[in-house]
Amino acid sequence: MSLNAEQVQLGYDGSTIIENLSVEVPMQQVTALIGPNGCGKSTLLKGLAGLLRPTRGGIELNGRSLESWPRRELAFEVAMLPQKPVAPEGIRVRELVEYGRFPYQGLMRGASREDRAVVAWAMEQTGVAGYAEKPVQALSGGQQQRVWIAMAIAQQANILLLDEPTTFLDWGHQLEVLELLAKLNREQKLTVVMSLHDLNQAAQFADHVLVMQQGTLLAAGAPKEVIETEMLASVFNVDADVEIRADGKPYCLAKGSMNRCRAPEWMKDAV
Amino acid sequence: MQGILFWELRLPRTLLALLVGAALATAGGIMQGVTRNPLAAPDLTGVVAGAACLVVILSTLASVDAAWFPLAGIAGGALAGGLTFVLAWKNGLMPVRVVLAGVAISAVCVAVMTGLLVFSGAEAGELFFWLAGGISGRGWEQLEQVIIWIAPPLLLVVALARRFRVLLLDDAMGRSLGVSVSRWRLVFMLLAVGMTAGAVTVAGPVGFIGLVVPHITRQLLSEQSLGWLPLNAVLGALLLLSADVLARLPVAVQEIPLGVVTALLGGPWLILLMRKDFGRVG
Amino acid sequence: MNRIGIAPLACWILLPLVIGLSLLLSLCLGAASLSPEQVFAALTGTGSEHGQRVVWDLRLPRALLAAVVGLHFALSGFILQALSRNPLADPGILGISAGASLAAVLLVVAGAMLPAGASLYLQGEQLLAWLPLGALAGGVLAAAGVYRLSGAGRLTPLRLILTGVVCAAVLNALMTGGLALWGQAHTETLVAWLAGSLHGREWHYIWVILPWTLLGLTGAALIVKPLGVLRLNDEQVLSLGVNLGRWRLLVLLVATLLAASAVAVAGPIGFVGLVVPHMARWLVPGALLHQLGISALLGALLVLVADLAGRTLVVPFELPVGVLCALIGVPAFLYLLKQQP
Repeated sequence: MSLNAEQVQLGYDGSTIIENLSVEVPMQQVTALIGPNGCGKSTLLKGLAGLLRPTRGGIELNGRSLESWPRRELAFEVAMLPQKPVAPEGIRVRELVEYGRFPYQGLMRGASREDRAVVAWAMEQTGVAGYAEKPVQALSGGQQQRVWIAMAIAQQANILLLDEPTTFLDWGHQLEVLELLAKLNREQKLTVVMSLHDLNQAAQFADHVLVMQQGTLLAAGAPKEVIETEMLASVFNVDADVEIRADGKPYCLAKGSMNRCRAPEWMKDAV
Repeated sequence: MQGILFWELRLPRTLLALLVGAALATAGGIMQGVTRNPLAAPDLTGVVAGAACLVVILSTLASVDAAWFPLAGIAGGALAGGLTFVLAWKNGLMPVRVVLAGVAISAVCVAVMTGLLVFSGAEAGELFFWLAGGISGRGWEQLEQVIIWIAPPLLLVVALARRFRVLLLDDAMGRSLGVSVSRWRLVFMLLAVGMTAGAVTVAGPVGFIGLVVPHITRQLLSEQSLGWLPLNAVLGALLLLSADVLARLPVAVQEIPLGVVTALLGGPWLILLMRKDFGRVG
Repeated sequence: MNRIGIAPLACWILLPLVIGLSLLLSLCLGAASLSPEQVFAALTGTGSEHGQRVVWDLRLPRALLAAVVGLHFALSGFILQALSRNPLADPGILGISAGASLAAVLLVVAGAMLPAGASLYLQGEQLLAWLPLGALAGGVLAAAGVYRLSGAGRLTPLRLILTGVVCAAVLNALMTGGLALWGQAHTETLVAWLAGSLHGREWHYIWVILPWTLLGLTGAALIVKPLGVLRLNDEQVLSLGVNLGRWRLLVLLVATLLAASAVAVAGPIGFVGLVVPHMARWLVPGALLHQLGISALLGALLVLVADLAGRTLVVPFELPVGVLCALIGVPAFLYLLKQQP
């Protein structure tokens, strides 16, 4: 199995977002995609999911160009959870998770025994089985996100792409979702690629980090190789200390933005 | 013979076309500017349907003298337009909400009108022709009737162009410039409704002029420029005049209703515009 | 999953009962009121000749047609709302009804304007049989135009609605103009038709619309599953392996077919397709298939009752059913608009 992009150019309607980017997604690992707003994280994820056709270069899944994959077969390999998924009004958790089985079902055929078993498994894995009959809208943000992940893993694809899965959640729920993804990666050998804003979370949960800036890939590698002071200054414009903790993961502590107003010398004396 | 044709038929009709076009286009420009909403035009906000509806009600149920029609049109238009904006209001006026509320209000007006048309039987055909929009057969008499409803507001609007400019700004900014924003907004909306109603009573619900013309003039001149509102009036007048000329070209047995010509001219334009700068509309 | 909840079950039992009751009521009430016994006698062929004629030839086909037309509009509206992910969509707002009406008007006018005696002269039932096809063509053209203009495959719900409103306005202007152009003598009947009317509809209208009903129901059953998925975010739909463009087009076609055929026999009755799906979703939250079915039943009931009211409320006159539906539907629509974020 492999998923890699070769010198791709990606964009929408004539405006190019990503120019000449090459990347290889490490299989059966958790990859975090980091970079400032507008650097092309979402665009790259859409490209990797086959939702956006490269205007140049190519993206290959298992050595075969994404464009030549029939949509349905691609769905068996890659699942994607966008940043703002839409839950139809009044839909229940179980029904939504069942949509993940859509690629496996015919037009008229209902859910097979296997489909039902997979749906139950997906809800069990994500801890949403307890409210299977509740309307999705009635759940909290963290619960909803787990329902969406349940739907995505019910698709039983080998690769799961997530666009900022933690953005609209509070701190505790962010960690819950990340722990869930780490568990799925560990136990199901699921390949996870997600864009994240919190660098410490990226460092803690990812095996592999991709740093993007203005449509290019700046760095790729293990967290402790990639997340370091100079990168934070040049990419995020943040003045930060990076400390390697006991478990070998880096930890960043921001001191301020690079262009913050520092107190003039004479003021320090006054205080 | 030629003199009569010119003085009694062609001249008043031409003047009416110019007047109606100027009124509709200016009203459209005002409404779009004041509500900062590129789709707020007399036809999409229910003003036209409301004006037409009250006129139909009065003419079928009460057989009121035609001189009262402009007043009835203003009342109906103001009522329907006001209702549309009130119903669409939710932390501001989102274009889609205004359009949808306008569609609903128009639907009620059309339902009432159709009900009345079905009842009134014999006059239905005549009313129907009026509803299709057109100024054929209108003469000095009609011109005299509506000119007081269109010309003074039109001049007033041009004179007040400076105030209008301020309304295009952010509310807070307008207020900090010492302008009572909400009062002037109301004044301009009323003037727009008045002009629209005057135009509708004489020409029927002619569509698309008020919607399309401001979009065209915006390409030519900045909204902020003092000449923008008058430019709307001029372009609207010219557009309606040419539409009316097209309408009476001898291609069919009968004249083509003006509303059809403006729909054919304006509709595609509008859809093209919507495609192009949808960012602003949505 | 396979067990039906209480609410859908109650709806599935109660609604047909209420519809049956309304049907009976609309057979009894009218210019000449009949007792239920008289109606039964007429239905079984043992009643008076007058009763027989009123019940069999006038009231029964009209009531049945009302129910069928209501079913068409409600199903179409439900499908369009799910497709556009917009609770304010319906065949009227998206311009489908306007396109169908325009085509139908053009067909009627063309039929009447052709010289009498010409072999193409379409009249009466012959013309009627062609109307659904013409309306369908108009509706499909309008729907396809709106679909393309709003950005085809990448359509956002908002764009679809706005483009639909504008196209409907253009088409309506053309239609009004076409009618006015045709001449004043004939407009009366067409005006009544354009208001959405079931006046004087006899059996042959039923036979005209029935094939389309069957086709529409089959189509609706076929698209239920993809329709459910299409309600999700575009990216999710694609990553579930669904061919977005093709299914959207197919779903749009089914909705158009239902609406246009109904327009052909009863005129553009508005707001049924808008309001009924909301009632259905409120009654049976969740399951799409149940909602679809309940929508169909509710639509049938609504138009049946509206037509009954229209012809019994102001007795010497008859209010077109479309006018009544608009008067019921618009407040509901505005309420829904207020609810929107």
